[in-house]
Amino acid sequence: MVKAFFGIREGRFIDPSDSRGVLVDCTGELRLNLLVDKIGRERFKDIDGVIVYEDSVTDFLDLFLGKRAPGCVLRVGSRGSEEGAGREWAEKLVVNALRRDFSALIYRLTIGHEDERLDSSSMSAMTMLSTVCNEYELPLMAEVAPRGERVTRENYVDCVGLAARMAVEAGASVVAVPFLGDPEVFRKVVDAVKTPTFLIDPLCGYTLLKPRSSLQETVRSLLEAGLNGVILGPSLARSRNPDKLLADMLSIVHGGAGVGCR
Amino acid sequence: MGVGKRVRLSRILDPSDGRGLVVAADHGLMLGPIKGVIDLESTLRKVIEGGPDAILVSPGQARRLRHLFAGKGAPAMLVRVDWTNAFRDKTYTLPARGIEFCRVANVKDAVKLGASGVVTYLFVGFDGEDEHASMVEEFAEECRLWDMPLIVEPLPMGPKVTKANYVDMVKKAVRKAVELGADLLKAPYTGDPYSFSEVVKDASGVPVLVLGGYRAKSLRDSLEVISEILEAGASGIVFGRNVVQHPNPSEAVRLMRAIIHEGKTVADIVKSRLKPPLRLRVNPDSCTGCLICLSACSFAHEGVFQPAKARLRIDYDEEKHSYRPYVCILCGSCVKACPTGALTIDPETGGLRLTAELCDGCGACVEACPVKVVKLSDGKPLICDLCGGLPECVDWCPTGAIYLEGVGQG
Repeated sequence: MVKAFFGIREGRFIDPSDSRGVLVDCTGELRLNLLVDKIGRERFKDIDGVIVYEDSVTDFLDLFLGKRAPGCVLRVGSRGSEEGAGREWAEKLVVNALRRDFSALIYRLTIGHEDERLDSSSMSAMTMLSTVCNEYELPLMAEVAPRGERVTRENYVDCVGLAARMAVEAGASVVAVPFLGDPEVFRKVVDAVKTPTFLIDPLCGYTLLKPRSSLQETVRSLLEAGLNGVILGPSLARSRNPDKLLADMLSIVHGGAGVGCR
Repeated sequence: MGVGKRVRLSRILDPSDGRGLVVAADHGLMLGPIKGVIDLESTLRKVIEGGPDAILVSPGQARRLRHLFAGKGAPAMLVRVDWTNAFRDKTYTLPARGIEFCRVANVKDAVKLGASGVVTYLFVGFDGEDEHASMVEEFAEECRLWDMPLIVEPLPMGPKVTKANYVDMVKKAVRKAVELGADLLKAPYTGDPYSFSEVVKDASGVPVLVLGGYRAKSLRDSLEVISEILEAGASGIVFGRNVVQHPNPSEAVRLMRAIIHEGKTVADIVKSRLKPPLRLRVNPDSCTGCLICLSACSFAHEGVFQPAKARLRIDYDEEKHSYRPYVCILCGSCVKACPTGALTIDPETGGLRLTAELCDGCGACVEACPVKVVKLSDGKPLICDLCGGLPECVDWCPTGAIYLEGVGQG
């Protein structure tokens, strides 16, 4: 596992004591109000970080007050706002995120499009964001998503490896990658990026490979392969017992607990 | 107030009670390597064990030691953004000849570091007052831009400040800081809860934290001050030397935290730290003969200010022109002499205990007392019960001439 360098912001969503974290993505199927309804406010405080849109923080500000509140990671670019992204766009985003005291930005780097200009546009936005983020010392998380028409089941793992490395070279401080099947394949990606790496929720729409075992089992095996943590989303939204799932994840990721031990 | 300010302020003032415990550790910037901040990292590690809400550091140390502020529940980082020579009195190298000040960081730097607030002085009472206010105004503008809480330290400073006008100057400085845009104040204690509650009122709802100033005589003194200022409406403290120069900084913070966040009283804390058997001890050289101890004792036990009914005495030595307190030494002579078993030793405190119904008022205890502090009143002996563990004579003695042995350090 790659030990993260801990500034104050990184430390708000990755626990410095073990370099691990459990994040919950509230920008997709699972929304912040739904999450709180499902798990309750007390359990919410146990989460390391929450991925949100800017408005969510304003609407649910009381959830983010106090030192025990989860770190807040701002989702960038999923609403097409990175179109024609330049320095001005990036700087406005970063400054606004810092004003509101977000702990990091998360940007989805997409590659594999038939029209390679889309790959280029995504990479360009990523690079511009990371340049400005580095200037302002705001961590940038790259969510690696090979989802273009040229991505196939055969080249999927290589596409993920390529995109993850591209993100790191562009300056991402944390990467999030989809499930890759074999833990050894995962280990190779982690070794190649040498940057804290999170697993994207395997039930997320754009992940091509799906695990056969339970999420708990999957995460446990990937932790051994160097994983720093997990980003939960649809799995929590669809779980019959989301509170238990989250408790299990926190226990497995931070406590080194085996599956079903909690 | 913007989202950023609210989120950051919630790391300084606990949202559950609106109170904050801040430790100042920026002394090196103004005073050089004074005790407690020489190996700052090691001191701060101990401070953090105690659970402060926030720690104030200089910009250089903020960057160097930022790993100490990482993680959920870690203290919030506050960054000092200005410098002054005003605190270098004659005991320091290069005592200040006049008041100088300058900015040492900007708010953007503090935002980049992940700080939750910036701190600046605001002096009133010297010729450069307007210039100083302009600097604070600039910081306020930057803070508005970055949604960063501005913590202003309004202080009477300079030749226009006298003992007579000090409280008014504090009020003036506090109000000026509020008008300039302070989100939180770090104000000096005016010395009494009444005048300080007026300072809090003058702050018009801006939370007031009280600074510690010079090192208090004991941790108990610091705790008493904290109790007073909370009663007067303050939202907490920003203590520096009383923590970083304490022999056990983590314990100091823990006890301060107990009062600020857990609703404990000083008496609760002192009692919890008693390690029986307790013993009253005296330091005759410190006794001024004020007799407060006698009044406190008689009032606590008999409800009257009557030194004759106190369970201790003060002797005046005419040759040496000095006073000497005599307190119960808990030798047990009275217990041994008691023919009815009315006097026993309290196993919890080690003090004496009287079972009144067994006492026949024979006076054997009075005769047996080697220091002559046991006396009869209405046919019953007046004996020292150590006030259940918190002796009033110790509590009220202004010079520490009477003290308690068996209480934890501090």
